[in-house]
Amino acid sequence: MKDVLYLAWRYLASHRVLTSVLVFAITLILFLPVGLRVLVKQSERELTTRATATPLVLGEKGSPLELALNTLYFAADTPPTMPYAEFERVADSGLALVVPLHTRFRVRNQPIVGTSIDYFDLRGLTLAEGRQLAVLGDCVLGASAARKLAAGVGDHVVSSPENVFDIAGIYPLKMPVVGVLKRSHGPDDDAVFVDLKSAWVIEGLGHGHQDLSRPEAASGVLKREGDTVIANASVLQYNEITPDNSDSFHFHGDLGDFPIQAVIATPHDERASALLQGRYLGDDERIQVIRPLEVMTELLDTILTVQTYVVTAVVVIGLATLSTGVLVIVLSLRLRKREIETMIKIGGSRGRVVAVLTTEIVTVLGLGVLLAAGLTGMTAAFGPALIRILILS
Amino acid sequence: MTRNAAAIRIQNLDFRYRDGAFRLRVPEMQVAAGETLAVIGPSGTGKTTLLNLLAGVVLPDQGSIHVTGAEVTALAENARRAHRIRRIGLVFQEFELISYLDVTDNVLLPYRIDPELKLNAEARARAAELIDQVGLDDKARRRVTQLSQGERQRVAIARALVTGAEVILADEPTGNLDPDNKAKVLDILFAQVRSRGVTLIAVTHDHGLLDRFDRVVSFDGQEVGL
Repeated sequence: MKDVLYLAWRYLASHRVLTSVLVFAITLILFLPVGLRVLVKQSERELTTRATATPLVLGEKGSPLELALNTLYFAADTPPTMPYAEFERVADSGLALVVPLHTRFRVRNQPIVGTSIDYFDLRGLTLAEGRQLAVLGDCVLGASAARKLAAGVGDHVVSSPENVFDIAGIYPLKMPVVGVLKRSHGPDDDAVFVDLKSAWVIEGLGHGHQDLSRPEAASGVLKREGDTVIANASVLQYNEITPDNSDSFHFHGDLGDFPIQAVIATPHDERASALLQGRYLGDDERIQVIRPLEVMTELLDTILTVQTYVVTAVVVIGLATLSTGVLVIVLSLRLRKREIETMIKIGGSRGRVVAVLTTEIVTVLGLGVLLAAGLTGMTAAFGPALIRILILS
Repeated sequence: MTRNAAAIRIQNLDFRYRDGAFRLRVPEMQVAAGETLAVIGPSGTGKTTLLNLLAGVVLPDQGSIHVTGAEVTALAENARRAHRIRRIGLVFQEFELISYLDVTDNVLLPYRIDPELKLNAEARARAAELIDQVGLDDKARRRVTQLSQGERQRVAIARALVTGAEVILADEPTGNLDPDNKAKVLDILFAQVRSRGVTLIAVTHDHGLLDRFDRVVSFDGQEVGL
């Protein structure tokens, strides 16, 4: 057997290009349909698991898919904003447990999720270290976000400006990391969680600055009219919320008008769910209510349709490739006719010669199968991340 | 092995191709052990067929062939194959080496394609010795495609002798070689054959080489009497 393997290996090693092409073709023939199936199965799981745990989502009317993807995965474009008053409207109805979401900003590539403490209960997120959000400006990092930002409890992260050329735009906010979450193997791992009000501070709706009643700020005051003070740009604005300056932070305007991207609603029962959805059916209603599971199922149906076409195409191409591979092997054997005849003529065992040729073919097939299995394994391992990149980004 | 013992004995051999276009008859033929015999004659007179019959590659319609004590014509196919690889060495005009193997692996090929022959240290030592004797010790790990024609034929000679063959059947062994290489290859072939007491039957068209052989047989027609 050792001699058979040796001769087969010598042939394959000396015909590296032919062998590589055959192995590559076999790998593709096997991997594409199997890997695609694995990926689709994982997509199904990835897209439905989180959607199932999110019964209803309210958002400004627009693309339901965009709203669902942004709410579930903090992915896709940020959906149009809705006023915070809508959150209060649902909360006051007593029909559901509600969680607000503000997802406009990022720390580098990690989404900043402005929300309430209820979000952590909804998603079953627990701390690996540190404490929960307690003070304006605190942030809690998902496990992957902590790794990618190389930050832990006691460190600071800074929100990224949306446009570096807009000097009148939103100032970055330096936030202390007060907690890091345990890995949840979902999009929460990549998020930077802050209180909703902290998100509004980042947006510029709330701010802290020098006390204008103090003498050192006098040069920045343009006009005083009763309680109203008008200051120029020389007044120092804080880009970090600290115990010393936290009292100076305040919001201008009505909180009810402040923007959020979505509200996750978990109705108490079916009846509450029906009543809640019914409230937003009017034609003049600005808010839409979506069932993420339905939206994701529709997306999945599209993926499955595409999969059917792709698999059909792959099978046809695979058959053509397989036929070509068989032809290559047959032609190769024909080219080696003299070599085979010589082995037989000098007294080689027919069985041994056939075994050598068979081993060559089996080795090529085996390498193809192994590579395809390896790629399938990698697809299974990195599938969820791949799905997030391919579908959810 | 003595010259007197017959290494090869043919009696009443009659062979014809299935289409009947060719017939070879050898009523009687004996070649002594250690004898060198040249077979000459025009193309198509059955010289190569005679080698194939002696090697047991094909069987005659009638008659018997004894090679190194075994009646080849009475052996089953697998036994003929085993007899051939262990007792008979074949050298071809076009060398018939395995292009993707190096010199050593080509010489050791019989050990790799016969389940009964064991590729042990002794066999490897014998192969190395033969490679050295045919003057290729510095090219033992070189692919045969990188060798000259003459060098390739020397590899083929080493391969024919590696299992301890008692008979070498060479079909125009110098037919593809230039005069310099022709002389060198023949020198090596004869040196090996004579030092080991091996019987050599060589088909050749080159009449200039005949004086090197103990005996010359001419195939002028389809019936050969020796």
